[in-house]
Amino acid sequence: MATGFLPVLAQADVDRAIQLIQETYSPQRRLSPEDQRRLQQELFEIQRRPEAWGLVLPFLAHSDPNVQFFGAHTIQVKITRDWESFPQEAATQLRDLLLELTGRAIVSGQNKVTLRKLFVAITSLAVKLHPLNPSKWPDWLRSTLNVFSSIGVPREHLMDFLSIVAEEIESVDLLPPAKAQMRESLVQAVPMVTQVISTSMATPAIQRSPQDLASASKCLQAWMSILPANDLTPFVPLLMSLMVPTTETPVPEYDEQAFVSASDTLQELLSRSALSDGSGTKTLTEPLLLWLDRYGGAIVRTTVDGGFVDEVSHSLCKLLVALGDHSAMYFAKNIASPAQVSPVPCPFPLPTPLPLISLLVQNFLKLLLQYTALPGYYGVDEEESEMTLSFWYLFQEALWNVDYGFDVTEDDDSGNLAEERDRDMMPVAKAVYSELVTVLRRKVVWPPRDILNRWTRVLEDQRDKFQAYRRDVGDTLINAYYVLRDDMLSFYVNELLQKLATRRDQDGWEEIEATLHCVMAVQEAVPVEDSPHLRQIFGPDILGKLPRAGDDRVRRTTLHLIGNYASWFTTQPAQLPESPTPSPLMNAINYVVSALPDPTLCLSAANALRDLCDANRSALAPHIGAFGELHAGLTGIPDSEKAKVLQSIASVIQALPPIEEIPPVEAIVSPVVERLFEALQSAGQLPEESRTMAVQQLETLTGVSRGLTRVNDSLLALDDSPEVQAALEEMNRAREDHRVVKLREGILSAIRGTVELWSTDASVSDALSDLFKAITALPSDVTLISLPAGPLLELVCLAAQRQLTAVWLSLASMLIIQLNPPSLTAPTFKSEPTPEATAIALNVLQILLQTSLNAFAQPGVMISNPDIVQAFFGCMEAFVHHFLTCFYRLPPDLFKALVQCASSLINRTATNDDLSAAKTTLGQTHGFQIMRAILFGFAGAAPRSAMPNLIELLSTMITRFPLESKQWATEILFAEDFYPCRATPEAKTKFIKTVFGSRSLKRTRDAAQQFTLVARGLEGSAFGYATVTM
Amino acid sequence: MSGICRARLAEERKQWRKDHPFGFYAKPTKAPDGSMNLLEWEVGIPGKAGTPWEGGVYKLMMIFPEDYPSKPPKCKFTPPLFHPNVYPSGTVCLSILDEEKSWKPAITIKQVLLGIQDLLNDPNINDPAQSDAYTMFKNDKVAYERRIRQQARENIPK
Repeated sequence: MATGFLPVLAQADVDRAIQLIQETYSPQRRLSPEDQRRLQQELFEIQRRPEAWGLVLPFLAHSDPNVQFFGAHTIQVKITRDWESFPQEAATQLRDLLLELTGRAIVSGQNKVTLRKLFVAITSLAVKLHPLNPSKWPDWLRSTLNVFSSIGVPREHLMDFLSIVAEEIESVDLLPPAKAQMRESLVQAVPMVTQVISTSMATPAIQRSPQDLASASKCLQAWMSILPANDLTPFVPLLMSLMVPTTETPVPEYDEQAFVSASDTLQELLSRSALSDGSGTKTLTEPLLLWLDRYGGAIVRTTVDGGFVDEVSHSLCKLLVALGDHSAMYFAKNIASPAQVSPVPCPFPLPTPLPLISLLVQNFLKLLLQYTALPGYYGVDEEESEMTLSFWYLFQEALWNVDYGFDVTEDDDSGNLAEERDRDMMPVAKAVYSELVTVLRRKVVWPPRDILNRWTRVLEDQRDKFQAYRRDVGDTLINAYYVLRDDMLSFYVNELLQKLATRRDQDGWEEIEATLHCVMAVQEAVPVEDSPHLRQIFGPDILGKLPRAGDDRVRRTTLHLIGNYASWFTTQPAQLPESPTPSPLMNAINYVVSALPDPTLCLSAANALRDLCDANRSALAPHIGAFGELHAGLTGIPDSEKAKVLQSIASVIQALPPIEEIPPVEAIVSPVVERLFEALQSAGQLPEESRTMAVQQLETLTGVSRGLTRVNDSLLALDDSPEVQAALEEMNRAREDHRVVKLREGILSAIRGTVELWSTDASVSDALSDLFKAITALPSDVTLISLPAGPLLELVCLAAQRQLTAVWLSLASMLIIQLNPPSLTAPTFKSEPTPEATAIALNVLQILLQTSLNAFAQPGVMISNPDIVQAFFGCMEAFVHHFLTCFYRLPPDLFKALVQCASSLINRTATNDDLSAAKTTLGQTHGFQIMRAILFGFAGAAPRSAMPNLIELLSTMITRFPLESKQWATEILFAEDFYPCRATPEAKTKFIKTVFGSRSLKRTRDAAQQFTLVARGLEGSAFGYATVTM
Repeated sequence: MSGICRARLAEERKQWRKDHPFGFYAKPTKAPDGSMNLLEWEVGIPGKAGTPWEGGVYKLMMIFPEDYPSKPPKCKFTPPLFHPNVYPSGTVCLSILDEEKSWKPAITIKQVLLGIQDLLNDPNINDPAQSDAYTMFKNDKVAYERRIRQQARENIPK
């Protein structure tokens, strides 16, 4: 063995390295993690030295397997990481040495981990030498196998080597041409590889070592994505032959290891090879169906009878799932196929006559269903049922997507054929899904209390796991619903009726709860239309018999069920208050209300009530008296949920004529306002409690405001029909009623008190923000208690002056829009704001500008408060849109400061490298608006005294966003809604050309001044020149 | 829908079926007749244990553009979430979901959802998307956590 080309390491270093390995990895020594790290680091340092190649030979020759492993590890690491430092002229010698060392290591029976590392080293070396031009190792794979064969390396190791080769080359990070070359070398080796594997698999069991078969399976799996389909198909019967029982009587017995290896390999074949995704139905799907037909049933029977899933059965379940994934479309097409399966090569006797394909498919579905239906609780007694769930939705989708035209000749009427198939297929599909629905109902039953207690004690995560499983089952059921529709609900109804009829007092509610859970889970698929089944569920025979005390779980599920179906109740005729038979809706309301006082159910009950009342406003309005009683009896309900209950009641009130809304609104709102005043008064003595109480009252007012707001009327603003106008007038008249006026005054005054006392408190300010959004509206959505924007803006200013936050600025933006609402009578034209509104806006603008600009003037404030800056610009944008003229009525200093701020913001953002993303955002979000304001200003919207500021801003924009600015300017100037002025298209074009042609400040200034004169009709007048060139 | 988009979404679905983090769910929506819309997914993101988000599963819609995966999906919490980086409309502001920032076609649905789960308790202070949550997060962490716990309670799965 020529080794002279390898660097040599001093014997002392080699000895030290061996000592380090033995100290670090000896099982007898217990090292502290720090010591272990220290020793590993030292070893790593030695390995990193250029002469560490010299460790390879002594390590591999050492008697300690740990040291041998480090020999293999060192050579692999050196080839991968330190190849550049290796003398390239010695590459061939290194290659020969490596092959010889590996061969010797195999023959001398070294550990498999060491051998694996050596195999990786060979592959790494091939990656360095093979893809060169010219290649330094052209036939690397064949020559390596030849070397191994010549020294009698057993087949098992050859296949291990081939597995490593395929895995390493798949994952190696190479440039595409080199990677292609490496792949090509694999493709050339395919005949050799398949031959080695099939010889191994075909060897009779008694002559074959177990390791040999494991290596063959692993090797085939590793080569799966490389082998073309033609080379894969011969393996199907070969693999199935490994899954044939060793004895068939009295019960079939399997070579477990062979079965699992073969099944794993088939699963890979189905999911990750040239035959995956539904290909090869004749060569893969049908042979497997025949195998399942002969052997599958007995395996599943043993499992179900024995109540235990053994290795073979678990592996079978995985195979079924993989086959389902692969062949779902085939199964959908053939679920009722009258054709006979074609003869295929199989390693077991085929039945005569050959069975119908439909029967084979149905047998598959039956087997899979038996795994879905395994007895016991998922997560405790079995882990398999969950694996099968995904098939059932795939299969439903496949049934929906079957391509009927696949064997239709031109003369056929494909429509009729589709109908026929539909007629034949759907009954089978329905039978399968009916069965599925039955078993899944059972699978989601919670265990009785004693078992559940044990879960909590011993299996901590089991509850969560089971909960997630029930959710996944729910998703599967949705797919079943599309197949079964009404039949499914009918099944659940019968199930419920039967269980309720036979239930004894001491029985638990678990079975009934499970069925209710299933009905709840499919809600999103159930159409909102009358259904006799749902009527029954929410009628006296089912809902009427469900418990109203104790038994939290079934009650909670019932509440969720009612909440989920809230909009279904709109399909039912409304019940009159005097009617003796309660409607499903009133049954549901009663059930929900009865759960409200229960602390553990209150949350679910309040949510269900809110959903019910929101969806069924007009049907519930005649029962407003009953809701009055509900309101009177609210004392037992926690404050956290009271807001939702009041929101529910408010949404019912909203369906009354406005004038009739007054007493109930007064009745529910006044106490809340009173409590808010109480909170304000007691704030001195009990600050914490009062603040919490105030937040709750604010939340309640928010809920009431939301409830009182109409739903589904968002288009109303555009609807000027007489009815809509009449309704709005009616509302406005009711708003003028003195009781309502007084109520609004009370609310406003309570809010004012709250802002004055607590505006800087985070929770209060958050609650106020929600309330301001809920209690204000555009005129089309106005309610009895809607507050006008003006006074609230005043409060916002007060709060912002105390503590400038994005919350107040965002609220100001919203309220400014409301201050200049679209006209109700002529919504297509934008109305001019009233003088009062303009006065308010100007005042607000001054305060917010002054406050914000003062804040931004502090160093670092803008950088560390992106939210405030963003909200500030949003707010200014709202002003620009609605109260543009206010800007030019600002005190000159303030206006100048604003323009400087905008200018410096743009400049600083653009010149700060860290903010390059912010620059883009700034440009994208606000650039257009800024440009629009500038150009409108030139054209006449701004006083001429503002020109220098606007020109400065324009210049900044042009420098920072050159391309965008040109596009914006063109778009704005030529838009139909450009500020009415005297500038002709020619003047506009000239302006753009000059400004964007030069980019010098002077020319920009000149062009802007010229444009201003033209636009204002002052061109040629001395007054004009005198006033714009200041 | 382009072939690439469909194939990729079908593959994403397959991978999700095989392996997804515990407590999450993700499924394409369906039309009333049971046919599937691969371009719109309903997903659920659980709050991480040991954070104020724990216990809640937050529902989000993923809307894939026709040119996915060249362009990222739009992710929108329904109902909108109280979170500094979620817009008032519910849309999530996250760099890996921004075509101009860190979106890469290789990012999987699983990675997106895990990224959003991380974002829940680890907001990005540089990207304010809603003023309410952002202000509270910045000014009063205790009140913010209380508010988040309240939100988690409203999102306990049924």
